[in-house]
Amino acid sequence: MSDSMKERALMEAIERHKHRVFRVAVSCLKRRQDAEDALQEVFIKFYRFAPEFRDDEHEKAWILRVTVNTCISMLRSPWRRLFAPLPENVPSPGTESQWMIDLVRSLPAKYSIPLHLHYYEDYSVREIASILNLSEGTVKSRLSRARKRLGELIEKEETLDG
Amino acid sequence: MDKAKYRRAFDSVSAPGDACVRVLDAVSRRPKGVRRNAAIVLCAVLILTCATALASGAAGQWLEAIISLNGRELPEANLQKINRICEGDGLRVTLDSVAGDGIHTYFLIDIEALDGQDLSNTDPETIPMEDSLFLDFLLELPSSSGYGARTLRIDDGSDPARAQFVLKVDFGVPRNGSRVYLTFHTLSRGYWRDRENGKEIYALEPVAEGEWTFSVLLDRNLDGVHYRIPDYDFDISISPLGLSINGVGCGRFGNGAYLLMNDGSTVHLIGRGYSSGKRNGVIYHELVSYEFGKVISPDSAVKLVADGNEFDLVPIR
Repeated sequence: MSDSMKERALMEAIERHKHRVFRVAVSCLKRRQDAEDALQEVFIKFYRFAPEFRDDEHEKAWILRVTVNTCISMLRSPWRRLFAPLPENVPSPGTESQWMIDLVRSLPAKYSIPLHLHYYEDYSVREIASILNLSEGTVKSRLSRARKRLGELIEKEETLDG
Repeated sequence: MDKAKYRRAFDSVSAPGDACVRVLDAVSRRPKGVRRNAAIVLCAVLILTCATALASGAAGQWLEAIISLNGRELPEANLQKINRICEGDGLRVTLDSVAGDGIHTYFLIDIEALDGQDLSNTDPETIPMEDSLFLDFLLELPSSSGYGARTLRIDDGSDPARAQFVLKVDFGVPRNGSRVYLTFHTLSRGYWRDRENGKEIYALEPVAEGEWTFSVLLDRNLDGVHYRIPDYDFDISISPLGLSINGVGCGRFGNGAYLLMNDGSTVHLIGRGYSSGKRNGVIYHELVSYEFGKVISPDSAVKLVADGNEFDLVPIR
């Protein structure tokens, strides 16, 4: 594929998936800057590897898998942990939305990522297992714990507010 | 947990409006902030030739220099003749050639003094030739990729008006087909300061200061192979000369790490290097590279063995 064709494919992919990628990144990374970096990394990989896809669903799954892997790599970097996260909000029009996003981001990535794929992207347990390269049992368990933890956090917040 | 509430919350999150511009900028061959005008004014490009697979004349010496540096041979196909000259501020700087692969890259640089400056080692008995001159540089890459680099004087000092350097760069991300901007800005001489007072402080004094800028399209003939290690979520790029790991959380192996090849042979990882970069104003160090003790075929690697663990290498298609 020529460079110009690769660039065109890249631009189309960015337009199709940028919000999807950014939302996954926001759901598991603590800082907006990191989510923006993740978004950039994902599409640089798209450009570099220039993958061929069977269909749109295959492309979406590839993008999500690379996004998840990129975010996990960023979370695992010991150097990143040297820098304390800054108190920073993602753009959000409503207080309730902001509150919900903050709660999700407070979950460990192993819970927030399957939760997001299930709740927002509407993926089934089997599909999430395929994207994350996990067993279905593990995904089920993580989804269950994610819901439980989120429920506890909501209850705790509401208690504090009350 | 209300799924509709969750969706509403995340519907309000949008990617930055300039996402496309940012990504295109990152993958483009022109890095941000490069001083285009300065490059044009300062760099008189006298000769511009781009060819690959040249291994004669100066290029042959270049290969010898690499071999003497690393104790191993490079495929001739990995040599890119550049031969660009940049004059100014008393120096003629020639970027002779580039060799290596997409991860480990060596630039050969010739320096010639135009104004009678003596570039020879003024104290050969106590200062090794490679420490007699230092060439400072700035390397600008597309995107925020990191690199580790150093220069080393490699000539024997027989011509007092000339010096030859190797700039060795370890890229965190393979750089095939990338344009990089290389600016040399100070040539310094090492000397013993206050030696007469018995302090013997090794110091540097500038021989020449200026800006000698080159724009180079890295054209590697041997590409790396990208692997992923399942369950560990970091990517490894393996090239003929070494490997780089992106996502270093699990990538700092102890001594004795090696690759297992598909013919059962092993290739030890040596010469670990850290690469750094700047991201959103914060310096980070998260790319690690290793060199091999010999030139390998990157697509023959099947496992990485480190710290008693075996990691399967899965090629990324």
